[in-house]
Amino acid sequence: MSKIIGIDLGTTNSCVAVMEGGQPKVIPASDTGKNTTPSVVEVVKNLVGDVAKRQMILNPSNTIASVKRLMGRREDDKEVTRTKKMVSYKIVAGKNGMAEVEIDGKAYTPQEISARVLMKLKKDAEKYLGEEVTSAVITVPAYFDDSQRQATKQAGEIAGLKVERIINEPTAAALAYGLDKKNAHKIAVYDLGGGTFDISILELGDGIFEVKSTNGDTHLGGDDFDEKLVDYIAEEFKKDNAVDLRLDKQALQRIRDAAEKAKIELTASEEVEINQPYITQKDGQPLHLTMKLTRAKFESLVDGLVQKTIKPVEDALKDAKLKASDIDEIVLVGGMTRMPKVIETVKNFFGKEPNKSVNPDEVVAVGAAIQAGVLAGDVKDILLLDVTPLTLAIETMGGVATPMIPRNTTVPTSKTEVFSTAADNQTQVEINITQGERPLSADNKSLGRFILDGIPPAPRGIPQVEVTFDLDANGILTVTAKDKATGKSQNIKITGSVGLSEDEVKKAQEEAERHKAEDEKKAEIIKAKNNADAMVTTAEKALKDVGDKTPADVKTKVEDKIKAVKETLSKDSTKEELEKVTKELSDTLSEVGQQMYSAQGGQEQENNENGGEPKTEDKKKDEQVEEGQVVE
Amino acid sequence: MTKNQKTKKLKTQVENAEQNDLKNQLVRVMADYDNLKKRSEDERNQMYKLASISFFGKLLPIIDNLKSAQNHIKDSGIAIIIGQLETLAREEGFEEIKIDVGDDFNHETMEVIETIETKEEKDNNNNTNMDGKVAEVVQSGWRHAGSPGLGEDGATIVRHARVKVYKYKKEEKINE
Repeated sequence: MSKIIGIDLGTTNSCVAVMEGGQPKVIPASDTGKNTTPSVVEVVKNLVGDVAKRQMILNPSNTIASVKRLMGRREDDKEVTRTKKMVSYKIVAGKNGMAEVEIDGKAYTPQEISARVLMKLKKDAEKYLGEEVTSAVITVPAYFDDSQRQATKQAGEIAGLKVERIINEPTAAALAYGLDKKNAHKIAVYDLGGGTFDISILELGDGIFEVKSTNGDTHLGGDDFDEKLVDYIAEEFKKDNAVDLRLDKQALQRIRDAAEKAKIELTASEEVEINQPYITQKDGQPLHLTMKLTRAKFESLVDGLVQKTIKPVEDALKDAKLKASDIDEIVLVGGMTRMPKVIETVKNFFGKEPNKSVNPDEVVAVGAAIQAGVLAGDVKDILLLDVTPLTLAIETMGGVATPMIPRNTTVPTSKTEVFSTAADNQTQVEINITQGERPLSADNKSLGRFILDGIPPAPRGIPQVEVTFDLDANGILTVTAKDKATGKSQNIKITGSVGLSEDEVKKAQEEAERHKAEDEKKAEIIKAKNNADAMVTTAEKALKDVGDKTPADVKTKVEDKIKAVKETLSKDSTKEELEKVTKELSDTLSEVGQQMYSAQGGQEQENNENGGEPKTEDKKKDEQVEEGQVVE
Repeated sequence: MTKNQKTKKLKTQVENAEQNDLKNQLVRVMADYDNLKKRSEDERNQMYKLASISFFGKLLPIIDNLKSAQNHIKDSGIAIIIGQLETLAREEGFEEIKIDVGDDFNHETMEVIETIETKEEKDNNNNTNMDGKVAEVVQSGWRHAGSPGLGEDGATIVRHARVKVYKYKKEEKINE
């Protein structure tokens, strides 16, 4: 059975999504790679989306935007009259007095125009999926009446799509958050898009959403916010330079781009700098636009617009006979709801944190895809895949918990890593398995430990101990340690304790978050200590190997520095102190090397020939694997 | 057939059905995984390309500004710097979209920001029909050559050229 796509057919932008592997996936436009497509159609050349938008100024009477405002409405409808003033194409009364678009004397119904947008989305989906798409779920505003819904359905059919269902945009948004499965009964969907504002109050009963009330402002959206900002920038520039940039279309375009960029940046930062050098000329001299804009300033500029959304929300609640505190969940839809001020206003009004984790430009299409998935039978629990809630780690030198299986890894999984010894002639290693997010083993929960012995004596760092963590689908962890030289291995099986209750997981994660700063500091000190320790070993080895060829003064210097490092190590030293003495030792040590090379000169080549590939024999041994005994 | 035999037969049938179901699921999961691997490989390549395109797109306004500065002060040093930037762009596969005044407007590579009204049937060179021709390139357009996937000729448009276009003045009022 072919896939059913979910389509958000918007006033300014449209979006298409599909269920894939049980997850909704937004399909990018094939021409731009963007996840949304402008709902703009050039009728004569049949251009849709960004390409139609780019030539809009050249062919204003052939290029149709905001056709959704005409869908299923009569030509004498109030909204149509208002739209006529806004757009530059011709709107006429067609069959039964319905609003139609006239281009070069030929009339097109809003359904036909919308169908062009749907056709493009269908094509994009087919390209992405590699198969033909014949059915779709399409969303409409909750306030659409029967004839508007009918018109939307016809648009789908003209585009060659069987419309499996028409669903309400707020319902789709609620579905995207899985609110149909939650214990939420009363839901408010706040949708502030490019050109329209909608508020819907839904009530959930028996898995079905009922629209209790809707309200909004059909001419309030992100474009108004942009316009305010452009005006402010232009006014400020005029104050300083007595030039109105809005009269120069080229400059205006640059301010528009800069304003949009600033608006987006201000959702994350407190202040942005707007820099547009050489924006215009005055008396033959170039003028530059440079200004700083704080988030507070931007918020004060658009405060009136944000406040304008509150009255419709109050009215919608009144119609639904509810108070703000009765609402269980709030869902944010539309790009403008990314603005911190909008989020804050909604939060303060309802006294609750709104749902905003799903991309607000895509949330309606995602919900439509989920509905489509249910209709196609895709959304079944085929096989529930579990993840490990906490990191599983092994304790290494200095008590550091070295992660083997990071949290949120899908199980079953396994991971193998090779470790070595920390001291010369160490014949056994202790494997301590820990669980938790803290960087030090002592702060995490130890799940079990065992000892692998019988490692042949060798300098530190030479033995190779292969440790494997294997976590099966039932949460049973098997840890195996194998000495690669002898093939000897040991393992431990840990059952039960890997699985934790939700509270335990949350506690562990919170603890890690709380201790993050001090843990990082501790871990840094341990790293510095380990480095210092390794440097001492290297230095001692160097003195042993070439000490007799080193001038006495250099040798004493190295010995002094070794002593200094050891002393610092034995005390409770800071990371900086440790790094300082380690560096000093390292610098002194390189003098030994320099002395050696200047003394030896021509012997280098010979040494190289003897020095290559010392481990061929070891490698052969690696392949002999023996079954080890089981601890526990 | 005894009752026992019947029960046993039914049991085997159920087991077989269950096994088939599981096998089906396994095959589907394996296929899903295989497809995912292929797609993530594609997406990784695409990502790499898009990352460099996106970065270059952010660099373009700065190159524009440098050129504006150069137009104004005409410094030989800045000329060299602009040359270096353009060489780098070429090496990375980016190229400026060549547009001359009088070219036809092309919606694939250009964006109209303004129309220039013209009533003349012929321009100065006695060429006819200026309607729909480029009057001025306000901001240069750039493309990434040889990167398949997006765009018409296999090239991805990094930035559309912004142009002013000639248009016959037609007296027409709509939606009165």
